[in-house]
Amino acid sequence: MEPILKAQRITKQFPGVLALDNVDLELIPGEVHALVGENGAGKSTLIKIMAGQYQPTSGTLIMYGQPVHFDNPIQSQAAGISVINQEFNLIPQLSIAENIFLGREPRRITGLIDWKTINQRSADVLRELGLNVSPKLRVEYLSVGDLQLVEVAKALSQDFRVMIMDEPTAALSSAEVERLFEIIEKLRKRGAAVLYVSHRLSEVFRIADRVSVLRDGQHVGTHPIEELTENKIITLMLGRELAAYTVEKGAAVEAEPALSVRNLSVPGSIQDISLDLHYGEVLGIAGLIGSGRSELMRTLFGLLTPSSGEIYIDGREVNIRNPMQALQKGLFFLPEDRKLEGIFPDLSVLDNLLLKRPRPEENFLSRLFIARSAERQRYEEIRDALSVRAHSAAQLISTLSGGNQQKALLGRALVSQARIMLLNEPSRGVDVGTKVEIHGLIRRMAQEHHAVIVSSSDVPELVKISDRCLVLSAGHIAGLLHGAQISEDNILACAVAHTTLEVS
Amino acid sequence: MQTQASSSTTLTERQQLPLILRSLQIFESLGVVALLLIVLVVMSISNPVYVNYNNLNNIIITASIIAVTGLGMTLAIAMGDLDLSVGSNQALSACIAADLLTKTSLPLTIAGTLSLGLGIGLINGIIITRLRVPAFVATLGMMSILRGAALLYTDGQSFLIMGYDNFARLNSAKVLGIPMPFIIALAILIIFYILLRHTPFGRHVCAIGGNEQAARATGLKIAKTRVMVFGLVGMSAAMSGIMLAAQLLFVDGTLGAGLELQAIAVTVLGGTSLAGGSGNLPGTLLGAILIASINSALNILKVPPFYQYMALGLLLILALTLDTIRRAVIKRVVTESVR
Repeated sequence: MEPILKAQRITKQFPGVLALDNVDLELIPGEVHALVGENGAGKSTLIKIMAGQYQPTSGTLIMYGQPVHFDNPIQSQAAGISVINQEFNLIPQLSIAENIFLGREPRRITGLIDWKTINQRSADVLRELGLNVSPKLRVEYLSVGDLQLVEVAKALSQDFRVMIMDEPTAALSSAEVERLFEIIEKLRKRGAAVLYVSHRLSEVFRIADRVSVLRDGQHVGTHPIEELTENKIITLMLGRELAAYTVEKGAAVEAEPALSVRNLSVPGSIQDISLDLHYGEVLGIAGLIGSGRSELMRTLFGLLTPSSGEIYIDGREVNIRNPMQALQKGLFFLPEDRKLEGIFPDLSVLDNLLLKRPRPEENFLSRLFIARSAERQRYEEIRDALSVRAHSAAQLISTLSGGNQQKALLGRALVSQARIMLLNEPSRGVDVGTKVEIHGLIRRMAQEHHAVIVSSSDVPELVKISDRCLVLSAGHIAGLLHGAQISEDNILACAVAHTTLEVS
Repeated sequence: MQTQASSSTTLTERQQLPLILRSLQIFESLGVVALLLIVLVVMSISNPVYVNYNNLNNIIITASIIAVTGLGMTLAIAMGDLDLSVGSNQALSACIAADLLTKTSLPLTIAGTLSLGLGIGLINGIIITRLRVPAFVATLGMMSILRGAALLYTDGQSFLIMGYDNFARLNSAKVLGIPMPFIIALAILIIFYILLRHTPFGRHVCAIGGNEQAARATGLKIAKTRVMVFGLVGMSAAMSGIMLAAQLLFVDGTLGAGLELQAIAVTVLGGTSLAGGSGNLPGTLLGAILIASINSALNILKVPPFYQYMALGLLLILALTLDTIRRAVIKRVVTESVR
């Protein structure tokens, strides 16, 4: 059958990264086409090109046999492509109905908004989705799952021939997922083409007709679902055979833990998480986007407030409400996004390193004023320990390479005198050489009797440095791997294949 | 209908939350109403002159003039912006209206002055959207430019407006006992309310104030909307200039100093959050009445006028504190209910 939308030899080059390399994809009317791949395989880039948010470096999109070019999302929408984004584009202060019809409000002859139509049609879509709320309710009062449904409603209420769904079920309960599947079924019967992106292979087997797999920006194959098994998809995603795996749940506690977490829950992100972290070990935390991995780390550092559960440090229960208290309790936090939460781009390397440090030993005057010579000495110690390549202490941190910025941020851990390290994505966006150095540093921290948690989307990294590895999935613990069990295959299998649909 | 039974229970469970929150939204302007009642009760006991007809009439007129500017400011704040040029805009407009009056008819005077205000606002908007100057800075610059223009225009002198009864009636006329300025303020309130709540333009204003990123991703015409809003703010400031000239019957280049603070204060007191995304226009009118009542009370109690500046400053800080507390409370209620 003639495809509605065809991606032909799409290549997307970002500075330093080839995100997509000659990728082909065909979407046929009445077909649910699943797109799978590991984090960073290029799925999101491909979707964003189809949605007009990115433009391809080379290659063409073809709709109904005609080459098309989208400069922006509006053009893509006008061509009949509707997208359910992973991140929400909703205005909190507007009502659900207003959000659904934002920018294309039906009007009456008077020019005023036709509320009857807006609310009626919104109510219809919401009912179809099983969301029992008034369309007049402000979006800011909705839960994350409901927000996701409103995004779905927004996409469904448009005129479209192609529906792209990027992880549409990440925040949905199983009943809501079922409802979404019924709707996808209707779309299929109506002759629309659905591109369905999900990490949850069980969902892919439920609804997909064909599956395309991306690996490292390359299209490694498109197969009818009948030809595939979960293992086969994982093999395609990994690029090699999946070894047999075993998962042991529950850790053997050998000594008094440095950090204990019991039944920790944060509404909408993590559920009933318990873990023990010991001095001298590196505990890896793996999990896909939406697994609650970063939320767990943020909760431990007081950036999110748990609704229930306890946290113990050295056996004493603690109540950490903000990062300042966390620092006082001896925690250190390396943020996930260096640019957003890590560096102060307009400050020097030295200032970035020493901005926040405990100084109990210093007298009143040196607390009040900055002792430049002492600071410089401290800076040089750390610079040498971490081999940060900066040509002077006064150099702006934003002029350093990503790897050196990251090392400077890790230098804060040494300054902090913290004993428990919460490291998020410690080697994201750094070159291979620096990565090796950072891994060495993390192991050294453990040897020096620190307790280290590394949360990372980089599975080989976790395999390399973790003593134990916790795998999260949909906010729950999907497995705890020890020693030789920690392998890429096992981690991925835990995170993907054993994903449950139960969130609520 | 029986199949609906199970879903209707979830329906009521779900809607309990919005009920609490809806009442919280009504209480957005409760603080200002409470303060207003306190001022009225205390003053009527301590000094009956306060509640006589003339004084209340004056309060309402003063409040209406502030409110007209405040209503425009509410639109800007709903969009997440501020317009600091409204005070000098009012001064320039008052001077120009007084001058036009000597040269042409009353309707043309009003039309001309309003067009000037609109033009000033549009220029503000164009500077902000085309030259990408933050609204705060662009309108701060415009505030100084217009003040200079007003002083130049009057050559630093005061001018009396005499012999134009029609013009004076913009202030003194009454319809069914209601002072004309209040009717003007109400009319603008109704127009802006419809604009903000019932037209796509108004919804887009709130969308931009609520989440500009999402508004852009949705494909809204952000620059156009922003220019139009600043045009409306400029026009409402000009209208308040005409009203002020009609009230005082004299003009000079120093009128309207500090009006921008008053306009922001009445907006926030009325329950519009500085965070943007929504605008409580009736609240702004109430806020204006509160400020006018307090100023009048201080006058009657023979408090030196300098204290009125301090009162305004305190009120502004109070209003912002209330805004922060209100947002924190709403957030807590929401996160506790949505579990």
